[in-house]
Amino acid sequence: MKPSTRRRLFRAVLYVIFLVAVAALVIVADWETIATNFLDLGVAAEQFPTIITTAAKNVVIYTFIAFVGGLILGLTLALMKLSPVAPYRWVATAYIETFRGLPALLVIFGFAYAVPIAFTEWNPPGGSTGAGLIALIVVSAAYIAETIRAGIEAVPKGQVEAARSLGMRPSWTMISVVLPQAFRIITPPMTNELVIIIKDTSLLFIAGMALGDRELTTFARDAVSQHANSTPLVMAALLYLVITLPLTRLVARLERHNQRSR
Amino acid sequence: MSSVLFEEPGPKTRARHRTWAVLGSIVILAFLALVILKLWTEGAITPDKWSFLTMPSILLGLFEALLSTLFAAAIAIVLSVVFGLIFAAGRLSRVAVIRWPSILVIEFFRAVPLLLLIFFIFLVYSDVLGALGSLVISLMLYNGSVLAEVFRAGILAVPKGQAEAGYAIGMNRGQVLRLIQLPQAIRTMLPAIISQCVVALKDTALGFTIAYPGFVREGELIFTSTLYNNPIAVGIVLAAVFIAINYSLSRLAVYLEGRQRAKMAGQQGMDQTASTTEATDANTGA
Repeated sequence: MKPSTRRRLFRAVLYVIFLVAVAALVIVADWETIATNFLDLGVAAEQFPTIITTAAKNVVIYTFIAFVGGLILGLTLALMKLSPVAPYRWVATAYIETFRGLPALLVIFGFAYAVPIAFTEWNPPGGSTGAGLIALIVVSAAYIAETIRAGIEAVPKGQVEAARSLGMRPSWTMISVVLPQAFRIITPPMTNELVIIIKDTSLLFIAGMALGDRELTTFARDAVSQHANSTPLVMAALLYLVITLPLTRLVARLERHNQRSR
Repeated sequence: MSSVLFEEPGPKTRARHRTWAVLGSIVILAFLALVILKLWTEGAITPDKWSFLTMPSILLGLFEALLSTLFAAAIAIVLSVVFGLIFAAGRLSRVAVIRWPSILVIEFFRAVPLLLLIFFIFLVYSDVLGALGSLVISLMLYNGSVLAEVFRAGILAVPKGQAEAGYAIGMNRGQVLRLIQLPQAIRTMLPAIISQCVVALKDTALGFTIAYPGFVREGELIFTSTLYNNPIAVGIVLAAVFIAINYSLSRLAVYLEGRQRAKMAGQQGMDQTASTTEATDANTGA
């Protein structure tokens, strides 16, 4: 048999296996149970519009707060980690290693429950959800700081040298020459960071939330126990896809673009 | 520490740095002292709060819980790697019926929060899988999808000439993938693979939400008991253990990355262009 014939045969076999598998799945699966448990249109209709106006909106708001907060704190930490002053470097390293080593769940738990026990006068805006959001900022800052640091170090050395020999001060060199280039380099990993934060907002439920503060996962979970039906979880998954998929596609495109321009 | 940003400082700059170092240290130490003092006066870290550490039965319980967390993480990681390899190969396949389902699966499980996945699988399959099974399967689906992308990126980063050489000596596509591209991809991607393992280990803590008897759950049982009521002390112990494990794993990743870069520098004479481009890749990814 010629290799090309064999390859064609192999491919045909694969298609047949695929079709058989799909057919088997269609026949074996108990469509009635699946439809009533996961795709109950009545239950789905009841979730609107709150699932969009409250749950999905809160995901976006929480993500925005955590990302902007994390960006500001992360930039500070990255600059501290690259600082010529040793104690700042130590603090930044300790911070980053601590919060990258801890599960986000544990940090949110700590900020929402453990910290208020010791610091009774500490009263974050937004109650326990606010405390959870602060925890999310604290965690994301550690990851963002490492990303920004990598970006700053990836800026070619000649850029700094050129700016310095033009007489720019180190701080101005950083602001006007290094950081703009660094942020361009780290756009893809930063978008990934954003996607991770979107998904981590689901952990906020551990802080306990009021009805109007619920985000998608908590909302879906409550709806599941209310209707004794899993449809809301499927809807939540689809809504997360709607939010995150464009971003992951964007990352892929940016990465391809970067590769070409190199 | 060598930094691209700062040239060799002169005497004046050095003096300024010294001043800032002293001032910074004072501020930081004062802050830490304040926190510790506050914790002490509120009775959160007074000696009696640590007494659980002297109880052998509690220590044993914590240790067993840690083992069951590590056990779940280990199974999840092994399954994730297998899942990742299969789906990376699927996504690189030239056959559309294999490629498209693989892409669908990878993109779906990367986009959905792990917690939602755990809830879903636990809700639907808990009779069959139990808490451990639900947790492990969810972790496999999520981390496996991420690893599939890591493997794929690694395979695509292997210089084209390698695959072409394989075809030229008569290997078929499967052989080229298995014998030539994959070993090189795994070597370059080892740091990323290890950091994904750290992520999997940390995410095992989510088993807490479906009452898997893991480390976090055991900690909660201790501090909610009326006997101790010491969330801060228990939290510090849990955090210390997590940080110790994850920090040593990420050190391992850094070490492997450094070794690899050194190896690549050694190969420079052999394959100059390939190794230099890869070295810059490793730099930006650091």
